Amino acid sequence: MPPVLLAARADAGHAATLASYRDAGGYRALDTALRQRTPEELIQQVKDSGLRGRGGAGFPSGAKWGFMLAPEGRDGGGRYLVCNADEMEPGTFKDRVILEQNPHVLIEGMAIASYAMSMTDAFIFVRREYFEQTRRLEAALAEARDAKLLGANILGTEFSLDIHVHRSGGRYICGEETALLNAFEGRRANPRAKPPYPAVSGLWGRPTTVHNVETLACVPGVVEHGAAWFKGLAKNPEGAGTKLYGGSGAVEHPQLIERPIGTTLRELLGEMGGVKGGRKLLGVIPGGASTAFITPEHLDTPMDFDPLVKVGTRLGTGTFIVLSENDCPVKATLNLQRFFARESCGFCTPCRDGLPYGVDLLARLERGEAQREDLDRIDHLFQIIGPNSFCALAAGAAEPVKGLYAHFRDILEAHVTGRGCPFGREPAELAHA
Amino acid sequence: MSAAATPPPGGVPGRTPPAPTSTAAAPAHPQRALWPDDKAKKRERIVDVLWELQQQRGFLDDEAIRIAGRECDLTPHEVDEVATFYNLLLRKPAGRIPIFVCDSISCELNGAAALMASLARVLGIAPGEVTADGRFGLLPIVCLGHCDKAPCLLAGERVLGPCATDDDDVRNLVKEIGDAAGAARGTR
Repeated sequence: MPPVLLAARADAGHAATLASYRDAGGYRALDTALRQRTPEELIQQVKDSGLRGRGGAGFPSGAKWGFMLAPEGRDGGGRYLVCNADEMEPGTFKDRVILEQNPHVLIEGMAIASYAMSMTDAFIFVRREYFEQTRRLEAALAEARDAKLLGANILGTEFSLDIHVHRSGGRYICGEETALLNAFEGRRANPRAKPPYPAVSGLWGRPTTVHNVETLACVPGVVEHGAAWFKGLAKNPEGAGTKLYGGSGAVEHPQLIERPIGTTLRELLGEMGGVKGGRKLLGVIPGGASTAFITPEHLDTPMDFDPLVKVGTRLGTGTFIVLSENDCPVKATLNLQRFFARESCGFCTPCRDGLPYGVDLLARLERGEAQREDLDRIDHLFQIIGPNSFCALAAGAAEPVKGLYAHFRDILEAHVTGRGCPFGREPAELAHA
Repeated sequence: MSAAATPPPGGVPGRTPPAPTSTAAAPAHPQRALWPDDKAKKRERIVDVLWELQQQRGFLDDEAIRIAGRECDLTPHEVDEVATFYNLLLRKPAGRIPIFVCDSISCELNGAAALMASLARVLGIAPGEVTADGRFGLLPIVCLGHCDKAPCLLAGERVLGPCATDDDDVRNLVKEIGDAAGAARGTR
């Protein structure tokens, strides 16, 4: 497989420089786009490529670009591309690796996307915890400006663009695209009502497209090698492109690897040395905290959007979290719910009050204080908070609970009948009491 | 987190030019600013301004909120809405070197609780407290995006991991964090 996103990755410790990125073919796609393609042709190419958003939702990227063809937003005012680098989904570290190792592929993707959608400015919204990654990104942006790949009249054409970095203060909800826009503007980062969608009214009320880092990093490959090539990279017929797959949790060698989308969990886990300590596999959260558990019977499911939906979960960010036979799925779900409860922005009641109630019920279950009816109470709670809350955070929180009930009923029951966690480990309460 | 899917705004997008509009058919929404004005640009900087104040003062006291408000043309109330929102902005003292220990799923599966417990023993404080000399603070934090390096922590501008969790290793780790912070201050 030709590596696409991390082609020019440096050997160790440094990001690919402009020179090494160019040696690997970098910025040829930008040249092609600006000199030989119209914006409409580029949008059609992205549509044909089958590229889907890598931030978790899997929305078709070409369709998103197409919204920006609407004539209403072409009044001479600002039109903005925003790259979402606020990677805070537990278990997810893929965008970090792009920033660390190959920031130019993101810059090139953003420049092409900005040209295709007639953007006037582009921004990268990055979580502040990524100090080193932001340094490397800024260094790469400086290199690109010096080489006239950004700024006025890029590569001698009439297209001008700069990319600005906005550093956030660290809060999960900022990854929700409208909360991100509020955060960007210096407001408390509650999500906004939709519609209007960002394509109509986004940053400072102007037409805006928000994309994940990995999605934008796919764009140069699509433009340079074509839509058919990109589609052909996938392992499964309905897929397109490569995917950055990360493995963490009870994994022997936790890491990030780029593989054809649709590679199975069995292959990916095998490449990472299998389950930690040679233990048996209990379950996997396939794509970050807001995706449902799958079990060993799903190991041969292609890790792609549609195949995973068919087995009751989602690809999410494609960075999976492994539980071994020693890891209690109730305790793991409790950990995830503590995360969601802490990171709720507090704007709407079902999320602000419902998630802490869920934490309390799950903690009681783990401690052995739950009654049988509490099992139904937890199930019911997580079914109602998602549809009744303002944004997708609580709906995401409900996903792992859904998987817990679908696959680990026996373990849930054992927590009630055995008066506590059957996994024989002390619940680690210290940091969370 | 997952960005929600975005349906097309108002009908099928295409290249068809807009129908000529008369003044009677004015857009439903009033014309919005074509470019962020100076006030918007100042406001956009608020997190950076607060972060710098925190580096100088250790945490964001009420005076810092007022200073940031003057700099970004915001009321103290508007500043506090932002200052109280973010995990890395601190409205209470957390030591000259706050140590943020990730307690999300991948770190928990790899000993985050043991790491936090050991740090608490070595520093002689509970999570949320500051050492008597005001040097170190100890706080939990959510996923730092370094799940391949679990268990990890954030100290200064570095994410460190995977961290060994027995007390001797953690003692060395704390010394290293302190030395690095001292060196960073020296080079400023």
